Amino acid sequence: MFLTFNKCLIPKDMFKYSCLLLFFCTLLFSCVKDTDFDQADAITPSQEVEVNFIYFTLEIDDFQMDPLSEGSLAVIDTTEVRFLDDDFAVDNIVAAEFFFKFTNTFPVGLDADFTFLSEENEPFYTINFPIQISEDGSPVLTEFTQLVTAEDIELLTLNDKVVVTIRIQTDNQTLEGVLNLQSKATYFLEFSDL
Amino acid sequence: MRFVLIIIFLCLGFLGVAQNKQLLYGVSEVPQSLLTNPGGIVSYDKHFGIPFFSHLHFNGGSSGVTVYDIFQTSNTSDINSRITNAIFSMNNSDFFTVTQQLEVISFGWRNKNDFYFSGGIYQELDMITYFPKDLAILGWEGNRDYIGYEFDLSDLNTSGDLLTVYHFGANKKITDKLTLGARFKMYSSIFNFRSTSNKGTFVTQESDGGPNIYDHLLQDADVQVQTSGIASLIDNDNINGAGDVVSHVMGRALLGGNLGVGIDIGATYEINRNFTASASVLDLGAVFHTNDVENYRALGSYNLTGINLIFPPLEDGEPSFPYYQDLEDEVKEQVPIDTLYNKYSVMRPLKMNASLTYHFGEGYGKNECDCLNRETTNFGNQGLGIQFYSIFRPKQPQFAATLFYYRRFTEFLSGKITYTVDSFVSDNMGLMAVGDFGKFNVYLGVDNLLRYGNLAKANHVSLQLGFNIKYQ
Repeated sequence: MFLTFNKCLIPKDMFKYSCLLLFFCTLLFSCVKDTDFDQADAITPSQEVEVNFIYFTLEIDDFQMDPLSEGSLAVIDTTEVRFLDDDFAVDNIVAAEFFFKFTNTFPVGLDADFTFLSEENEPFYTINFPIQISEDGSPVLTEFTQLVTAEDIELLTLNDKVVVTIRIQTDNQTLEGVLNLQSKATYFLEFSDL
Repeated sequence: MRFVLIIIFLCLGFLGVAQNKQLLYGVSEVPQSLLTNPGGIVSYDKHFGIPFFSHLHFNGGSSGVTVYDIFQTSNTSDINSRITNAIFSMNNSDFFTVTQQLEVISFGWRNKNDFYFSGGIYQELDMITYFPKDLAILGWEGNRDYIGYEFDLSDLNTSGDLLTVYHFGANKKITDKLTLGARFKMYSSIFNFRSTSNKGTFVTQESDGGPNIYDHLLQDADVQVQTSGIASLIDNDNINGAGDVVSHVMGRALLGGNLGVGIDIGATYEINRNFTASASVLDLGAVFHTNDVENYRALGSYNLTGINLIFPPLEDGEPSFPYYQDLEDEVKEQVPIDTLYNKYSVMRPLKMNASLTYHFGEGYGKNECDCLNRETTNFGNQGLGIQFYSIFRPKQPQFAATLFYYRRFTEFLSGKITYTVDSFVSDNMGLMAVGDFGKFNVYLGVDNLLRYGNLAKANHVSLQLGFNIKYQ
């Protein structure tokens, strides 16, 4: 049995100082272990961002004679896509996917062309595909997906504008019909150089 | 950026109910316990803190994730999957906080009317950031897998203060049983930021009859960031280099910044020979931010549908419409980000302490049991009790409950061990040792001892230490 403190100092003091020693030893031996902070180099957020792209609706009045293709009508328009050649995009977009959904009621064939141009108007990336004919004037859906792979992404991110050209294979400017486009882009980003 | 990430995650690792000083509260041998309860028992007649070393306090942590959770050495998972798991395991009431205090000056004396006056200056850093879960998911994964999900902008909730506190208080034993105390505080804010009342949602949803595939809807957004003391550091052409920054900050620390006032009040009631109850309310006050204020506010709603080409008839060489610029302008018009300079006030985080202590055991030293005069002898070198703590935070109050055992081993050595439970930690053991070597008083307290074997696994770490000169 322990003696009272003032009658038996040695065991009591041993207890006290042992507690104190243990306390400070605990502090001395506290540590951070089983961790590797170099793993911070491997932190790579990878976003998949879907965003609307271009949309429009065309009727035959919008088309004009195509100087490059006799017997066809065409429309051309250009818009900037400024962020595409920004450092942020160049550094972090590793792939992209464009999805186009045309709804056509024209009873003739059409072709869609999306040409991406650099700031100096040099074309570095092109997407083109035919749009299905509407035989009876009812809406016909054409869906087209273009995957821009890791190999091609450097070409895409050289550009900051896109020229959209729609050619209709007729010169009949009284043809009835409507062409509608809805589209989206998916950007696959990896922030590997944080 | 990696360095910043490491710092953030280190901070994540050290979190809890910040500013809870359960080890210091009620330890009357330490003069700084008067900062946790101005109505505490004062057993000495005079004290001086060693300048800059009389009270060092650090408290930080993360309620939802530890450093180990992210940076563990593992052969079965990579750090990105662990971050993903952490993001989804936390919720928007989890928080990260850092609190630090450095006492510059501390002094006190008892006058002839038995009032104990005390005062001093300390610097305090206090930051809290709630985990913005929705924004973290959007930032970490993007929106592709969350079509139709409304990201809540109110998840953005953060505030921070760096200030100097000038204080002076009085303490008096009013009756044999009751001791009361109060402390007046003047705050000199060095900087403040807060973004705590944000609203709105962002959702990408499939369009129902709209012009394009999706509607990217920013709905009723109202996101505001208030700052003071920061703009002049960034925009001031006269500040070049660390020396100018230090000079500028020191000026604001020495009552040159935005000022505020507050009070602490406290009481100790000795119910009987065995039981003592105490309570305190700290930092009941506010800081008024009137100069060097710069606020930012984004307000509005917008539906981003994409770029609508209209194929205008153009002459050769004529440029088309500036669709992209128009789109940017439209976004800025619908959701303008305004820079405002309106004054604002910030309530200090109100803290409340309460405790009930059962005293038992023998006396010590001069107060050893006097068998001929047992009633007047100061007995009770041990105490067992409970403490309660709460602090008001931007989203909701945080609470902590503590069981403690106090023991005075000798006249010069005492200690306190605590077991604390709060909203996020259920096994926080703390230990404090106090030494009185003649007139020299030293104390050291640490929390979360069960994690000291590997601090990386701790949600919360607190350290407080200091040196004083006391006169009995």
